[in-house]
Amino acid sequence: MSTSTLQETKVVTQRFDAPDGARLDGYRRTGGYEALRKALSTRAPSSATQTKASPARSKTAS
Amino acid sequence: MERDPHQLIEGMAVGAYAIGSTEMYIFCRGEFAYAARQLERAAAEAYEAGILGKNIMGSGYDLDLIIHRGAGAYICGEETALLEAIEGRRGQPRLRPPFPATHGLFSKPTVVNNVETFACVPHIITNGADWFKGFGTEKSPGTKMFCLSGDVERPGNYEVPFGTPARDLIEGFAGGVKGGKKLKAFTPGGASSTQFFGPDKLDTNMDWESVMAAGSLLGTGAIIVFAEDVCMVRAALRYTRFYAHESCGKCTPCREGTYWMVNTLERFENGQGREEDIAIMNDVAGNIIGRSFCALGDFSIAPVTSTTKLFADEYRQHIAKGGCPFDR
Amino acid sequence: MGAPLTAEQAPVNLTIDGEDVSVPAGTLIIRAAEEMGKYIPRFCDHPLLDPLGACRQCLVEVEGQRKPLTACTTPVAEGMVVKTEFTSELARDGQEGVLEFLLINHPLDCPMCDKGGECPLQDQALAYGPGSSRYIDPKRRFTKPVPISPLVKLDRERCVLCARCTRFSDQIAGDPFIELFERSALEQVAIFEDEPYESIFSGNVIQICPVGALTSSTFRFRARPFDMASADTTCNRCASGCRITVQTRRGELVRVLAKDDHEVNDEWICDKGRFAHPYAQSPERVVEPLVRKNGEFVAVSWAEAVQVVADRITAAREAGKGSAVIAGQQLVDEDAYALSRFARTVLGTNDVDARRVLGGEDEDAVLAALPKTITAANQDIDTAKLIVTIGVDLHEESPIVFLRVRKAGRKGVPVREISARRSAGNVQGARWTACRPGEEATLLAGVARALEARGNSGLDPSTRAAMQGVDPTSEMQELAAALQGVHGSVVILVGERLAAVPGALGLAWNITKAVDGTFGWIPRKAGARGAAWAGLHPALLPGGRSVESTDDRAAFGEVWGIDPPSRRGRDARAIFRTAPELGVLLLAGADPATDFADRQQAARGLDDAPFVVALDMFLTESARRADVVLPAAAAYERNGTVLNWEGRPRPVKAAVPPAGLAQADYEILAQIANAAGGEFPQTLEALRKEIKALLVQPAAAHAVTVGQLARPSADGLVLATHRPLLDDGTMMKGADALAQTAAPVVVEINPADARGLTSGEPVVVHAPLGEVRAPVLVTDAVARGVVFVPAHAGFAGRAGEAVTVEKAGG
Repeated sequence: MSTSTLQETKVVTQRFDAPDGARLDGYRRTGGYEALRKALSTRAPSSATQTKASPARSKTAS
Repeated sequence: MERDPHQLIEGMAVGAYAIGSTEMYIFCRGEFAYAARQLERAAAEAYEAGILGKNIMGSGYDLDLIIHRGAGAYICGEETALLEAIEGRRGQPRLRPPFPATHGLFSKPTVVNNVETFACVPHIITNGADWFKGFGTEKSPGTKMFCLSGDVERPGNYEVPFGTPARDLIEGFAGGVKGGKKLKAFTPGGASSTQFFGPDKLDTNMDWESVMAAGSLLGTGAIIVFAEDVCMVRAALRYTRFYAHESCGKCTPCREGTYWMVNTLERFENGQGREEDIAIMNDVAGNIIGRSFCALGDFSIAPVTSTTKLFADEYRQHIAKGGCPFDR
Repeated sequence: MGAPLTAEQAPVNLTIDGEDVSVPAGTLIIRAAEEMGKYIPRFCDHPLLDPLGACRQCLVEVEGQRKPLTACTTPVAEGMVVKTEFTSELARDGQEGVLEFLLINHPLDCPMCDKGGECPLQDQALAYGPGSSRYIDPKRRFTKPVPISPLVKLDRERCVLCARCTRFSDQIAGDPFIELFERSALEQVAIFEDEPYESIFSGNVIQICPVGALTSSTFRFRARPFDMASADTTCNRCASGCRITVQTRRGELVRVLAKDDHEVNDEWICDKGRFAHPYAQSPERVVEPLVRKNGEFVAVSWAEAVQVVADRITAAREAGKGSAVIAGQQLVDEDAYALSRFARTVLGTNDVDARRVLGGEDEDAVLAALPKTITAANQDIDTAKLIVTIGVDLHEESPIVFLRVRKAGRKGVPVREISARRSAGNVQGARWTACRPGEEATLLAGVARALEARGNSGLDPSTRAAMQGVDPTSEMQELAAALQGVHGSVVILVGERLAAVPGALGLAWNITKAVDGTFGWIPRKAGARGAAWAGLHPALLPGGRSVESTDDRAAFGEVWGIDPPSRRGRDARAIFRTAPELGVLLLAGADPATDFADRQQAARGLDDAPFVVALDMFLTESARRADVVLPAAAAYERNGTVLNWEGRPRPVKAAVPPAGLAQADYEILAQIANAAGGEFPQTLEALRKEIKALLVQPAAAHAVTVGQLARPSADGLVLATHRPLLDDGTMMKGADALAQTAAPVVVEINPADARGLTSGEPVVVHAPLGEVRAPVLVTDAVARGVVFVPAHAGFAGRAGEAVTVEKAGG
């Protein structure tokens, strides 16, 4: 089976091929839960503003 | 959920903190046994590590996660039916208003989003909104996991920026139509794509606005590919059977209309279709869309309307031949 | 003038089909359309059920909206432009489409479906549907019909899944035994596997079902709507006073329907009111006057029977022997009045009693006060901020009042039940205070004491005297706090049978007054309030006037031509004790040999009385001991008025002529009075004229005398008892399907007292007057120290008596 020459842009899938990506230690090793730490250390409204600025559209049809 | 459950948990946690909620629920399809196990395991790890539970990460904030497994109803993907199911009732959509944002789960203000949406959140927080907007288009920023299936060499999930042309996904990443056959049709957004696309639309950019301009909806990003020797009537029958089976039954148009369309398509499959059935099915579809209680009804008509519009000749061949022209 | 309207109250202006209409904010489009006489077709919508929007039949076009909207779920908005099928192609197309959809799976059952002729699907399909269907494929099939209870049959093929029945059961009745199961075209109404549809309101789903999916097993195939004659009257199976429509086919009573009356019963009736009509046309009805000759009943003419009775009355008067009257509690008001007058002017006696529970001084005081006082009405239940029930099980004894209270509970109004046995009725958030029978007076005295301690200064002297020496428990304190906290909008509903506990009724009355609440007296029988009002009581004259008052007697003497006797009469117990000395003992719609707690005493009294005349529909235990039985007309067979528990007059209208030679009680009494000599009103009009002349305008409550409190109940087990809704009364005759839905007789005991008994075991309950054998049910719905036995279990027992329980078969 030939493979594609195109490259994916792995944002949410970046850990999918890692053997320990599903485990906490593997997750944290690759920067996991730093965003939560950052959010918790700020007052709630600023995090809301941050995600609001990037309108990630709903991914379903409905 | 299977490969990176913590990403989902983290994204949800940020969202919960943003709205001041201390309870999060993941509604996981009952059939997804492996995903549920992965989620349970990840949740247990997170509780153990103080990332969930009381005083998470020493912040003074409490946060709980409950993983709820569904019992096999597609309708529970509709957000208010999902809430009903978590509350222990039959999964039927609720009247809106009020909307979940004000009266959601257990009548509390609730945010409902999909897995992929929450999965983006940690990355946006870490790298910033501008970084995320650097991918994709102005109206469809960021990346999307497209799921390629059907008659392709390499079916699978491929994450690309919004705006990637369909050709890149189908012929590039997925290796083109299986066995080198010609492409007959593909769905830009799964079974609920309002219009199937033919080969003429291969250069459509896969983002919200471009797909809509080309006459369909990006929806879930599930690109299903049909080769030249696939019977589109049979495909429509399979999809419509799915919708009829999954219809919750609450409202008349969806419940009775999908039943009607399935019966008509079955007659075509058995060689007993009639010319007038094509118009009747479309009229039935017109009596479902915009009239049903929720979007399942609206989307249930797409396979029928789409295939009768683009592949009417296949229907007529069923009538002429007294059966499926693709069967040997 | 008054305060300016708030935004919520201000009317909203909109147009429907080009016509302007103005309705209160929050009104649904479908209701606004009805205001202007416009009917939008619908199935799932019902004004008394929460909106659902499931059937999609009521689609209308609203300017500015890209999809048609359901009129039944959309509230009006200022300036809204609505177009129904009259002016909108979209709406018309939508409605036609939905009807076509509903008919694709609907079986062509019309020729044999009960609903034909009164079927909203037929009517709306004709008016709003496409005229013919394009569907040629098979319809979904279900086994049909399926009995979901002895009374209700379900046909799932006909069902349009409007969920009216499931919403009624869940929202209105609180009995969620019927539910929608499955999905998609297989969605169907069903009951849970081990739980049959047991609800005393089950018949209502038959009436609100818009198709023939739910049908009555007793009415099935009996008549078409256009074959029937209808009479609107009032139900007399309890004191709720529901409006009903009685339907007959060729003179045969075939069906009873609920009739709308939003001030009393909304659009509902209970199963007893709906299904227990067959007694009226039972072959066991007494249809001719019967006179005992040589020990046997012989049918005679009215003239002869009346003369026999009149002669005995005259003879008794001349011999100086007193006569007496025992009245039932099912009498129509005019009959009750006529009887009260008859006793005083024809029999010359105050020995009249309609009570079956003989209480203390406070019972007399409350019965005297009822006709003169503004008491609780349904609207008070609707607006109350707290509802308290004492000594009554609304669900069993006044079902439609229960529905009203449940409605309040759904809105979040706190409901408190004080009783020996927790009612099975489902009221959201209701709290139960267990109270042993006989201890209600002490409990109320404690509450009164606690009220005063909290600063309430509205208690009267007799209450303050009665409450001395009672130390309020924390429960009593809490009740007092709840009452004091809603000063001015509490409704206290008290069971008539609480009279068995001297002092309790009086205390409840006075406490209600002290907290500025409204008092409701809930009897089980339809004619009880009328009997109190008519003065069927040894010390009372009609209107709550007193035999011992010179002025009152004179007022009656003016109208009656004869002054009533001045001495207080004997009560029912005394009447039976002194039966051998009587001249004539008249029973009017009364069956003391069955109904009295001490039925042996009553039966002996009837046997010992020299001459007994019974006005009745059946040869009851009592009537068959009489010397003369005069056939009385049933409530469906005559006109009149009945006061419901609120004291609201309810019209009774004949639906069929009286059975055989039966006559209304007042007609019978008039004939006897004529034969015995003296003036007596002959017609309903004449009776009403007299009543009007003697009418008392009800006013605000005055305190009543509490009198002596009941002594505390004995230690150990005491009996709690009352009649369930579906018992073995004479008026249940012939209602076999209904009787099958009655709960079996069980003896209920608290786990703390069960001492090794397990549910289902046969036990014997020993009471002073008798014993009963039945399976036991160990339940915490019964207070500790209490054994509950339903009063139709076939034994004689009084609430509060000491009893023992042991395993049977020993």
